[in-house]
Amino acid sequence: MRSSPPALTAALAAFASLALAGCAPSSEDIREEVAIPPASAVTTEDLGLGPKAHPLSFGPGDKGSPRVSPSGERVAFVLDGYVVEKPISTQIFRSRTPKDFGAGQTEWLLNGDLAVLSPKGEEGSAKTAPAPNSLFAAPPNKPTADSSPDMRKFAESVGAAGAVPGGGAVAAVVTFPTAEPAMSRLVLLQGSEEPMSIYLKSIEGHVTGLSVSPDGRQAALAVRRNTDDAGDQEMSRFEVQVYQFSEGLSRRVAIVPEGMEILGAPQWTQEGVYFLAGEAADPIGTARSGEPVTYALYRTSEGSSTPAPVRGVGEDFVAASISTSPDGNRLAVVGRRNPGSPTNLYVLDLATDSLETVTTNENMEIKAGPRNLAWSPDGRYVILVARGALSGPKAYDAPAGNLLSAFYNLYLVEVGGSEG
Amino acid sequence: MKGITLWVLGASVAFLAAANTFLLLANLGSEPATSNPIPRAEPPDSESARSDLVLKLPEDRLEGLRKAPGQRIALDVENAGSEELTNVNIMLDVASEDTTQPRARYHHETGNMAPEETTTVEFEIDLTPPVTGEGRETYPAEGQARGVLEIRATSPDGASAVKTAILAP
Repeated sequence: MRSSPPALTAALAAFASLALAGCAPSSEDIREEVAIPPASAVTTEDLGLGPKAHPLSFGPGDKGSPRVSPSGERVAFVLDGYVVEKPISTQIFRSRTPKDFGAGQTEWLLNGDLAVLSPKGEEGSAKTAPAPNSLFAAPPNKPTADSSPDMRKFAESVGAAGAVPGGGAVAAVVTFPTAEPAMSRLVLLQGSEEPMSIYLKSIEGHVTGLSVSPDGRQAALAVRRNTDDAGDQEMSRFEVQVYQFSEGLSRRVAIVPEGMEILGAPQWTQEGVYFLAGEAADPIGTARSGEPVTYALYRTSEGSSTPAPVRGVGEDFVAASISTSPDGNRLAVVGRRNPGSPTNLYVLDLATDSLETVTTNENMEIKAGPRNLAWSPDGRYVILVARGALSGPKAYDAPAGNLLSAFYNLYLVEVGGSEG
Repeated sequence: MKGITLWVLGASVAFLAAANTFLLLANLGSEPATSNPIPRAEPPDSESARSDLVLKLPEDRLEGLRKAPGQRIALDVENAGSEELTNVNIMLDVASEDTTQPRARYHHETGNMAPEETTTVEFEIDLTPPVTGEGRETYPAEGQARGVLEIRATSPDGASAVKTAILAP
């Protein structure tokens, strides 16, 4: 009787404390009041691209052509004209080419080798458009302090190149500069120690863009072919071709309407070939109307050579670059819903034709261009390049090497889904 | 009465056990099913620095800068600590967003600074864009690279401060 009240009180107190504990915030919910540093000085979630974007690099330098290694553990990219690679989660860069290499594109080959496209060694290439490149392979052996990275040249006069999604092999188009009419030939390179395969059947026309299907059996090509001369002016027209490596044959799957051009490489997918096309630009990058060239997303139609606009992105969509997922079922698209809206990363589900907005752009410049978009081999994320818009000078309380949005940097963007 | 007490105690113990089980299950449910598959890239090591030295560079002082030689820029250096700082040095690096371009370094020795003393340091800098060689491409495209002014103040006492200004192309 006398012991009852204390025992009951203790039990009720325990119950009350338990009940309160259930309602109280956990230690993880409690935030200390902190000063907010500049967004670009730290790795906060406030990157200007939304919560699915995570930075992969910091500091100055123009970065582009990001590519994830076949293992998914490393990323290679072009930095101010030379190629570097680093583990996904650290900032330990390693140069894979000399610094003055002029690299424009890199792709992963087998065994850690990298394919590099550079105009190095191409005579007079700087003034021609598009500038031809040479195809090099950079083995992964680490250069010593007194030696530059070992570069092996495999082909010259390369007009376009593309890798198998997920990496491991690169196909390139070698042009014959003096051939009339223009002719090209495909080569396939898997590693610096592997013999390069040459496909003898020539492709008529200038190949301006190339991508390889996920199974590595086909390549989708953008080809500009000369048509009849109109007086002194040479006329040309773009078409999309699919090249079968096993047969060594190319077949035309679409003809782009006259006056239009293809931007970058057509993308082979499970639902046909997708590509960007717009009114052909004049040399200063404007359409015939004087406005900047805008490109729309098209796909080839079975049984018809006339491409169809992709309705899933909306009629006013302005696309800047596209890239097929490693399984060929999704398309990453950088573009704008309409000419007045911000540029974002979207993922188009090709089976359902549904478009998902992945980034939430807040005053960032997402780098356009067909090479600046890359999927991870497992299809779980896309890497893009972006920097913060800058309308005037800006000061930060951090060294330049720690700044993020002040310069073009790589961002890993989660896109969900995984591929077997 | 003793029976009632025992009953209440037993009921309380049973309730607590059940509640704890539910809380445990709820906490388990709130854990992510898998670890985060996205590795986070950390920025380069931030420099641990005493906060006694403060650099101030209001952005309005940057607005008048042009891509030309003879540009003047003033910045304030403050000893915010309670002890004198000796031989305070200021270094200003003028660089381009293109990391392959050479950078120019300017130096100023402020000398000793008393506690709470603020001094203004003025630099005359050359912001002329670097000339590239024949056939050499610039990254980003010519005229698109942002300018970088990186300013570091250091003292042998261990105090340091850093400020970076980004200039629009």
